[in-house]
Amino acid sequence: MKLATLLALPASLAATVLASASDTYSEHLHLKPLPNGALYAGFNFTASTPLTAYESQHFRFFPRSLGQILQFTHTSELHLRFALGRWDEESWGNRPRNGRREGGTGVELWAWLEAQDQKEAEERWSGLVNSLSGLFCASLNFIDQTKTITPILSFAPEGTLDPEQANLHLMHGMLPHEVVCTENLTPLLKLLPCKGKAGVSSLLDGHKVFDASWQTMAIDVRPVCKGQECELEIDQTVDMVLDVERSMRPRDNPIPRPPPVEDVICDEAKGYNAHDTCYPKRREGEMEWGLSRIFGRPVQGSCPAGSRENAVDIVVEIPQERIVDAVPEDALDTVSTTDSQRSYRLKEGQELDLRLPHQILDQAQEHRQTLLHAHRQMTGYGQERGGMHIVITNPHPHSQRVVYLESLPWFLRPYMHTLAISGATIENMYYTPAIDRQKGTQLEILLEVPASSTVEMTYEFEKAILRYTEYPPDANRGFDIPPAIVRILPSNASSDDQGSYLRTTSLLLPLPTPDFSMPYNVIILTSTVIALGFGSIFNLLIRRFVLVEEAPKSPLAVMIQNLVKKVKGAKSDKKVEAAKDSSSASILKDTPNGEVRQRA
Amino acid sequence: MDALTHVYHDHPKTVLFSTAAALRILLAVTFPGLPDLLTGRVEISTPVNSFKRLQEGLFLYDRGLDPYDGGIFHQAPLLLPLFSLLPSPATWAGRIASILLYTALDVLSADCLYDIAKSGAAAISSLYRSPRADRSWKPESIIAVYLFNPFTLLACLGRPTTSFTIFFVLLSIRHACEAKITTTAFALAIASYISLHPALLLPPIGLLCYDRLCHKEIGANIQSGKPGATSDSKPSTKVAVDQRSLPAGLPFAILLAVTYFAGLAFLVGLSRFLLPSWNFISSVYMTPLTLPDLTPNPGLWWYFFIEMFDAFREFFLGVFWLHMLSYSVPFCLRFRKQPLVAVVLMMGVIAVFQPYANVGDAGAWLSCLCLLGHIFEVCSTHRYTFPALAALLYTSLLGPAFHHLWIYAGSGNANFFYAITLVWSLALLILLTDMVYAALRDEWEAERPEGKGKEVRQI
Repeated sequence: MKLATLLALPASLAATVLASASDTYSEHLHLKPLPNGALYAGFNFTASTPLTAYESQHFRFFPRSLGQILQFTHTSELHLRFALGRWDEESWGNRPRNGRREGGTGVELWAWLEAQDQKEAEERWSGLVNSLSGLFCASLNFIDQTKTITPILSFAPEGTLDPEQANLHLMHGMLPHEVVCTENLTPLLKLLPCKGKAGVSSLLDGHKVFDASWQTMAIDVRPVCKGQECELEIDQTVDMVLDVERSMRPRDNPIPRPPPVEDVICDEAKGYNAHDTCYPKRREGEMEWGLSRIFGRPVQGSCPAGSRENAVDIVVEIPQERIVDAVPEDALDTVSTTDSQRSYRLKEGQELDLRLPHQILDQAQEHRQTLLHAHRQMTGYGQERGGMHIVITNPHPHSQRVVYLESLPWFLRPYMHTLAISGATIENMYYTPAIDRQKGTQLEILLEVPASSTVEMTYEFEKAILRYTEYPPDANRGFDIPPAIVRILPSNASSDDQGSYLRTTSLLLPLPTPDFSMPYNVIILTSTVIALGFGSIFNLLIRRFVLVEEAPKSPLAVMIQNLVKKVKGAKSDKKVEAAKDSSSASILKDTPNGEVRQRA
Repeated sequence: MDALTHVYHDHPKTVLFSTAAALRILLAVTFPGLPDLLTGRVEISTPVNSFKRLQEGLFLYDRGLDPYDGGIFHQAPLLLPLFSLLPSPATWAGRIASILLYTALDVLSADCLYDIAKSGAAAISSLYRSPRADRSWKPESIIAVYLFNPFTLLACLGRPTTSFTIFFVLLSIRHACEAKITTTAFALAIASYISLHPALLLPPIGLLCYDRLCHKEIGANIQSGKPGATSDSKPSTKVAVDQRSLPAGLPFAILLAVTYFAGLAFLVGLSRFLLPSWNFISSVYMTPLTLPDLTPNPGLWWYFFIEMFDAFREFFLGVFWLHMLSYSVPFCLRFRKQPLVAVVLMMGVIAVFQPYANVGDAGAWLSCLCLLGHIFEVCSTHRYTFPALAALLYTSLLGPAFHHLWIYAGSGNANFFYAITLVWSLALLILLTDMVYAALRDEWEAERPEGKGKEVRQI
């Protein structure tokens, strides 16, 4: 133990000397009950390192494994998203962090890479996706040329990068089919200084995180410059909306079962209430919940990394009347309490659980209005062609400028001449058509959505039929179409605000399928027809006609005829001895065949 | 009624043309959804001739983008400025305008067909006179078959750009029948510029043109040699035609090839002038060669290359193209006495074996077969013409039904439609071989008149 400390001393000293100036780390957990028994939990972990330390390969809180990948691929800014489920705007309201830490279903990745030209940028991008694929145990390596786009209006660098700079290339790729799971969470926790053993990250358990109604994990790396000093910031976010009731199922009895009849509170006001039928009564007031019941374990004390002064670990956004019990009570410092939220600081090495009892509050739930609604559906039926129908609704009394980005795979062939927009005018449109097996479609539309109105966009498309090796094993399930990304531009142009984002759900595209079981049969049948045509045509071309009488007889027919003659002659002579029949028996055997042939 | 027949006897062409045009326009006006429905049919529109894809190309072209920097549009660049003159087909006026354009194309094609039939090149050439020459169909009947052929009608309403190819091929044949070298070559250059495969027609059409040149020469010689020659002095009895008086073969071939390639180069250069890059070369001409788009069509290629193992794809593409190439020269050699037969048969080979086959091409070919009407009796007595025609009928009825079962109803799979395309191709192939047989038999019977109607063998 002592030896280890002694050995570690020079390294930690060097690190402190070199980087203590601005190496920072902080983590937060934001909890907020949502209507209909949902709970929003947002984890955020931010670490930063001076750019000079990063370039000389000194890593303290910044994860080395990721840092080396970024250095090798010359990535200036990185955004990686893993997402699952759907954010229910109508009941949950606005998206957390303005939708900027949220991804489309599956995996989404975009980055600014430094490169001399497009070719080099593509090479580096391919290196980046392949390395990240290994680091995060995700199929990011499937983001190839056909899934990569370079959006123009939809993304702006968050860090202090000059997007106009010629050698910066933005690349964007999505994998809607990817199923995000525990194997992606574990590498994310491994990047943290406390590795999920202490601090709020100790609450993150795969069983609960991926049981959420909506869940997104994000990693954002960006350079931030304040004057001359530049630092590299990594922001790791895990946001989720948990169904409180479902999450609180005990671990030993995880299968949901109907509660015993005695426990059901019946709404006896209903007409059809009887002794054997029951209409469950709507739950009243705020639900009872606790950290360890929802996440399956308590918080394992604070994470000692970084400066602990003024640190805020947990923020609970609840009305003032709501009771919060900390267990044990001395494991928590209350930093501040306002009308709507309470902030707490954890203590090192002490387990903590927060419990909120069942309560009926008289305060009515505030109405949540979202910035914008966007929906996208496919229309039409059959596997030949279809249409896309996009509805964007602006509920606000002021108009909003919106960038709509769609990245479509090549096997969906949109017909842009059928694009129709009602309710708004296109300010700008960037369209890159797809090329079969080479690149996908990229469609970016800048729109002004008028106040309190609905914009509808439609276009038609055709579904390509693929080579049979290009279908996945579950070919009839369909192909996932990545979600559309809607960026709501900030209202005044002067602010450097990013704007907020929202993403539609991904779509499932059924393609026509060939019969996978018969490649040989098809090859044989088609070849037969072609050979039949070729054979009969050339047979006619290279031979000449003669009358039947003139046609020379085939040597075999002549031979058989001679034999028949011989046999007939022998029979008429009747001088042949029966003893000699050993030779003529074979002749007799041949004769019936010979006659048949002759007739034919 | 009498007045009608009277008018028909006086101006048969005018009556036929106006009836055909009226029928097409009437169909488009009474069923406004019909043109767009037919445009969407896989049997009529393929990736290289679809009217809808042309609209997409136009959309990009009108906005100054390169329409070939994408996987949708693979049609010839010069069609773009032509169609950008028309109003948008999404509107009523635009639809009617496009139908009018295609009706005009059909009528012009029929006019070419009329002149080809009238020239009598099918039965009489410089080296040969068919013993059945007097049984040739009337030109009016041939254009009636062409104009009222259901396949031609469907293709006219579906508006594929291969209608242009058909027109320029027929125009080229017509000029060849008139022995005009330059225009023949140039019309064929336009046809092969629009879609690649008419290039395969260069040898037979060249042969036809040369033959007509000789024919004209011989006719002139006879005229000058025997001023009082009567009309029954048959060119086929030209035993003592002076070979030196015939036009020389080599300069003719060089002139034809030079005009053809110069025409192609001019058209390609003109296209480059209209477009920002050379992308169109690979997009227009590599697509039928490499078959990236496997949308179903009534041809033999699509399902074969869907099911093909990746390692053998290039090999079989090569084999298929070599196979198509292998017909042109043998036809010319075997049918050097009947060059128009070689041309028509080669059109048939293209209609059956082309990578993006469509019923428009097949319909045009079937109508062109009527040019060889004088030898129909040979194939109907000796061959399988009736089963082939019956198969054509049933595939054209069952094809759309099976496509529906596969794509929309989901109660059939791809093999249903594939099987129908196989039978369709097989039926066309049988017709093609029947015609080869009939033409050869006719030629043989000219030498051996006693063999008429008798059993023959091939050795």
